[in-house]
Amino acid sequence: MQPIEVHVTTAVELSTAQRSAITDALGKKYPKQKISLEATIDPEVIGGIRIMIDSVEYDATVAGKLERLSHHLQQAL
Amino acid sequence: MPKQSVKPFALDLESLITTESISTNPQSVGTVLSYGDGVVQVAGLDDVQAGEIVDLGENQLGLALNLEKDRTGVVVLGSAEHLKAGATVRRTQRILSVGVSDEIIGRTIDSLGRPIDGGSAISADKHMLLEKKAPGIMPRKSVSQPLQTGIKAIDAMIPIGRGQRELIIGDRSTGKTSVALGTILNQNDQDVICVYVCIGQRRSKLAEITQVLEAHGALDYSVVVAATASVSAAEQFLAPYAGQAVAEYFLEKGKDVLIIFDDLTKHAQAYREISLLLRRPSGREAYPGDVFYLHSRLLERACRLNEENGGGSITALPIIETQLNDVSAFIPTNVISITDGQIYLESDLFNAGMKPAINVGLSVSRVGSSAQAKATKQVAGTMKLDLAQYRELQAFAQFSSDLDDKTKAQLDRGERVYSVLKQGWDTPLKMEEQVAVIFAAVQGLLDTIKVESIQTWEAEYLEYMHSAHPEILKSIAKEAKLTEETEAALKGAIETFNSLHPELQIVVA
Repeated sequence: MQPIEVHVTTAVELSTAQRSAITDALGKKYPKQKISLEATIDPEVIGGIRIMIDSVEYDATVAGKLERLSHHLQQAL
Repeated sequence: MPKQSVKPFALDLESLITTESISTNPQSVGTVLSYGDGVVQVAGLDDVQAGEIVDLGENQLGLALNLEKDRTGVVVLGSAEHLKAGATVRRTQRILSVGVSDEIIGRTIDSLGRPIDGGSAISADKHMLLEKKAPGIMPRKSVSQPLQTGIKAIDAMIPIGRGQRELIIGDRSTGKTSVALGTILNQNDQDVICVYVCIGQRRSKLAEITQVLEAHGALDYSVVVAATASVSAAEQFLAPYAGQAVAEYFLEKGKDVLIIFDDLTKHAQAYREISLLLRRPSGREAYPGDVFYLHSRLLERACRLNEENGGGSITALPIIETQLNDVSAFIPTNVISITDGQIYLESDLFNAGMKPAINVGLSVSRVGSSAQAKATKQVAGTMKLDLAQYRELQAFAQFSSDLDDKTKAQLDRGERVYSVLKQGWDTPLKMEEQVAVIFAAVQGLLDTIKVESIQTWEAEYLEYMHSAHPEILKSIAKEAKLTEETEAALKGAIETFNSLHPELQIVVA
């Protein structure tokens, strides 16, 4: 079976413990499947984490949250 | 945006930030493979719907038009110069719609409902879908109420009913837009909302049109939807649907709406551009296979609803520009077959000074006659006959100057009836005024008037009728038909007027 490719973007490098925590969490979502983690470091995300699985994105970075907030505020005005 | 003072705004901001949810949710995204000519090819974007809005970032939106196995073709609305290969775009799960409320009257908006007249934002009372199915058979009703254009030639011989689709077709600069604008101006006391959709026109022309509407007070009941030549093809393609969505908002309120598409030739060209860039197979004149459906689904949304469904109507006046009078080109034939008749404008007539340059022989209205006012019908019946005879005799008359008296009389009559149909585009006439003028022509009361003085005669005669015999005009307007007494009174009035103006009469040697 093909492993699921997961792209992770963070501002700072992940520790080994953090990596295994992410793999474990994803293992619960996709049981019985191998997970191949590919990490990218991008200081522009400021903080937090962004995970991409196929074409689904979970954006929990500070940059992403700020962007969503700015979008909401602009709409509210 | 509405103006707010600084303090409440700052207070608002705090509550807005604390109440807004910015939690992480899974989002469907795609990666840009290529971008060029306004088309973005995107990988990913799983489960995207056809016609869905795609967020391209930097407040720019796109429209997913081509769904393929491994990629999606997205057409950019606006500009997307910031995009590069590998950039991320997002699904919005929204289908195109425009926010409409009663505030929209008098405004100019673009295809996405954003104001472009420099005014404040339009609050959305309701979001109207751009693509909507046309009303079915049961809620519809046949056309029974006239839509007065104020143009004698049209109201008398090519009558338009509310809910009808009447095509205005002709070469460039033959007065197509003028006919449409004149019709809008005449709706000032008719309780009709007008939507003018401008597709691929010059900005200067749009500015001119809005100025004309404003100067005549027509913006009090009109909306302008504009996608000028400088906006993207995608926006030009969407403009008529946005206009239709605005019209449907008022239809749902039971109003009568008049919508003008100026013009659908440019619309078809914009769609052709999009289709070719999306690499869809092209057919005749390089138009894609679904170009007929492009216009049929739009014009099918014009309708007259029955009382249970509000009793509103949408009358559509699409405009088509032909090249060298070629009505058998692809787009003209398509639209002719969709509409309920056409008003055919000819450059030869226009150059000969016949304005509006309507060819009454080739123009038809397939459903409007059932809605025509009885008074107009009474006078127009003989007019058609006079004009048909005139046209036939005119050909003969060119060969010989020896004509018997009867033929000569018929030619003279025809010439005068034709002159009576001349009219300035910005001087629409009310039904009773039209009846009073046409009555004079077909009854032969103009036979003694000089042909070149007919325009002067008409202006002075109408002034005279309004000041000396307003009761005759009122009775025609009220009864909507010519009773024997009105007819006699009208005849008397015209004879008196003629005798008062010997300078307009032919001098008998």
